[in-house]
Amino acid sequence: MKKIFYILSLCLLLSVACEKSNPNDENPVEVPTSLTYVATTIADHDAVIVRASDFESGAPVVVVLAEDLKLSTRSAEKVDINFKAAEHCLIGGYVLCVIEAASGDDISFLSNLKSEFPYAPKFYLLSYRNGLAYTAAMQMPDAFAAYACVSGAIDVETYKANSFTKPVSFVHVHATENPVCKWEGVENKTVSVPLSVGAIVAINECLTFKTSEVLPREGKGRVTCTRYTDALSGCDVMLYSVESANSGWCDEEFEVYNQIWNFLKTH
Amino acid sequence: MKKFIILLAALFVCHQASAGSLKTETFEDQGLTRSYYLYIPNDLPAGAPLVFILHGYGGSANAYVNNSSLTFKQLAEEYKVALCYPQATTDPRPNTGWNVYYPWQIDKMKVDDCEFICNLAKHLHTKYNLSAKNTFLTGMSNGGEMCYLMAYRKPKEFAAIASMAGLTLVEMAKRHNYESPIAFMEVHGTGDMTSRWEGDPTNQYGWGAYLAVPVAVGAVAAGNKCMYQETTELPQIKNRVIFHRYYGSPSGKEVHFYEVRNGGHNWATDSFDSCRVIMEFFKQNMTK
Repeated sequence: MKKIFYILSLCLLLSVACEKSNPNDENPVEVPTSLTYVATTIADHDAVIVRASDFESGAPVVVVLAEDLKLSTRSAEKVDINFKAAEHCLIGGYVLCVIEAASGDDISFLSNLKSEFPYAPKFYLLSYRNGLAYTAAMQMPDAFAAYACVSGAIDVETYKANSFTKPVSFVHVHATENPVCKWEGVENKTVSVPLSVGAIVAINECLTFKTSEVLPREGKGRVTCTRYTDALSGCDVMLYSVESANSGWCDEEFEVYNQIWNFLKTH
Repeated sequence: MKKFIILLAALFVCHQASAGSLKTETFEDQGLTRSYYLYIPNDLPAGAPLVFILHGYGGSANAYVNNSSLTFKQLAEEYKVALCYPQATTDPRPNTGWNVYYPWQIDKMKVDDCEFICNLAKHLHTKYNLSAKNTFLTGMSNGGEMCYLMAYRKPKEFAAIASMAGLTLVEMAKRHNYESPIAFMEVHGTGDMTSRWEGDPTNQYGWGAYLAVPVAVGAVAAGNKCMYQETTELPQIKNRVIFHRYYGSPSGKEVHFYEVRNGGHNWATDSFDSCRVIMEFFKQNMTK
């Protein structure tokens, strides 16, 4: 009986010892747990800078141009940037700079953005519910490492007045039944989404394309990713077509932030 | 019996009356004697449009003139246009073919077929009093490649261009840009195993590297700055035919793209009346 007791005690001690020697416990992974929001003004545009609380100054910057962000309070505590994308910068390890801007705005101020983030190694530009990423791709193709557009398209007047002159890496996410910024274009307002993307495919001299299905969230419609590749310029283009009527981020349909960031970070 | 012979003779006369004249002619260009067929419909008015029809690789103008599934001659009577079927020269392979920068043609084939077609057009405008501003081009396969090359190089010489199963070779895209808008049409089978829908960026199949067909058509639409699109499906006869219309360009020049689902390397006449669709597209782009 005593022997059995000793053996059991020994086993218990060994198991505790093994638990204590778990390397994860000795060196726990530092996961940032919170975000800091700083309300500011960039070239007369209301802006919010979002970063992890343990932010590293060498992180890349994703600039988001969007309107109706409720930035008017100018109070860091009360700022409501109105979308979940902010939380993704924790995962991606980048700084998010959301600037209030609308279709047709003069975006030349973006060329001075680097002075706001002197230690940032790279800048990416995303336009949300407007086509300013396309405007920037036409007017300042060298300013950003890659460009993205979600639920926006080229503004017709801007397209009449400007052309794509240099290749750019570009990703576009759009719902095929978007009732606001329509897939097929809106006369005198926005260019069709495939034609917007096609204009960049043409200037990039992409030769071919590959289509794949992206895993949608449960019960949601099909999400198709068309990747335009083999570009003579080396700049590729991606189009996510989402079978829904979402005119926003389409994050209800699939892991949109991951997909966009996975594209941006490779450029 | 006599009545039967008279009836036959009457039918023959009627047929002759409705058919225009088909001529074989030659034209000196770039030091070569080039041949072509010219079809002039009856009662063709002065200043009538001129349509060039280009054959495919290894093919001949003669085969196209006599191809009963190509209804261009009947349509020429209806639309009152003259038709020209030029003959390509023999390339270094050696096969009859238009110089569109296939790998074996580059630096070896001296003839400039874009120049030839344009020079021949000017000759015919003068000789037959045909319209210089209403000159059109269509062609299949190698002839379709000529359509893309002409859209790059000579967009102002044609009121509209229609390619059947044509391709944009990478060599074209490297050498040229779309400088001027052009009314353009492409008909292409998604199951075309010769001129592949998905392109051949690495020249796996030997024609030279070429763009995926939707990318090539998109490049023309981008060159035109088309801004809007409509997608409709034609009434189904054999293969499904999806029609993509790209429009709203500042010049008004549209791009029409007929995607023939599972269609092969042909004029797709079994799936829709492609010859009439081409003529109708040309008619839409006629200038007064």
